[in-house]
Amino acid sequence: MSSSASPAPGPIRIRARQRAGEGVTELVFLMPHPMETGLRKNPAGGFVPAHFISELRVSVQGRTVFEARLTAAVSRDPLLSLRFRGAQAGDRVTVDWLDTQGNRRSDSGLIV
Amino acid sequence: MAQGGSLAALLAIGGLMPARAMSVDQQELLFDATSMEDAIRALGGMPATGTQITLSLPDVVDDGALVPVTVESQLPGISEIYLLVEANPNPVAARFTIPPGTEAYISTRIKIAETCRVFAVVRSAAGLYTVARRSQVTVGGCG
Repeated sequence: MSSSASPAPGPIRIRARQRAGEGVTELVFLMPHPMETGLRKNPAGGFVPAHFISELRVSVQGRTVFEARLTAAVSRDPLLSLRFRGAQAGDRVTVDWLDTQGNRRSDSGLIV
Repeated sequence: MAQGGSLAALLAIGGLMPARAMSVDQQELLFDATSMEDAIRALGGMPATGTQITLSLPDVVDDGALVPVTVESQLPGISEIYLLVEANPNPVAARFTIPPGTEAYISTRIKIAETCRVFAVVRSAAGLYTVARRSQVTVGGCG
């Protein structure tokens, strides 16, 4: 299926939309990341080391609206969608993650 | 599978658990667990079967590496949602923390090693509740 080399993590893609008249924000975000389990063999016969996003946080204008602890059982390039209240169009949504190699990433987008 | 008997035994003695967050040590036991029995013990005991939880995932999946899953619940006071996959080397796949103001709704994609049951567990004000669905996997997703 995939090659043995794991692609490097990339910028988080964020789409946040205010549902008309309901006060609910729908957020969908994709975090490019290999999410290696450590169980996958490389061509040399060894294992590709485990490497996955372990912690993540979503905040709106500095207020935490969602946190997660992930494992390698979340698919490659984790895609999550969730819904929260108390925000409005124009507010900034920020997604932060930390992976098992100590890498961090933070990206944000505006609610439309 | 072989785990079925002891799971049933756990179910028989299980009850509602306190709706408090767990200690750091308990968390490590939970995420390091290599069986459903150990994971459930680390969660605090067998959750009650929830009727107000919806767990959606395909009945049959070709690629176990990419299984869409959605959990939604109307139970009051939900603070956490867990996803557990019975046949994975570590059953606990993820924990989602839901603060007040965020809906008890999460949709994502997970890996399933082989045909088995997937559990959604929610921690609500009244305790732990769960719902399970079996998914048939053609090609496993953990390699």
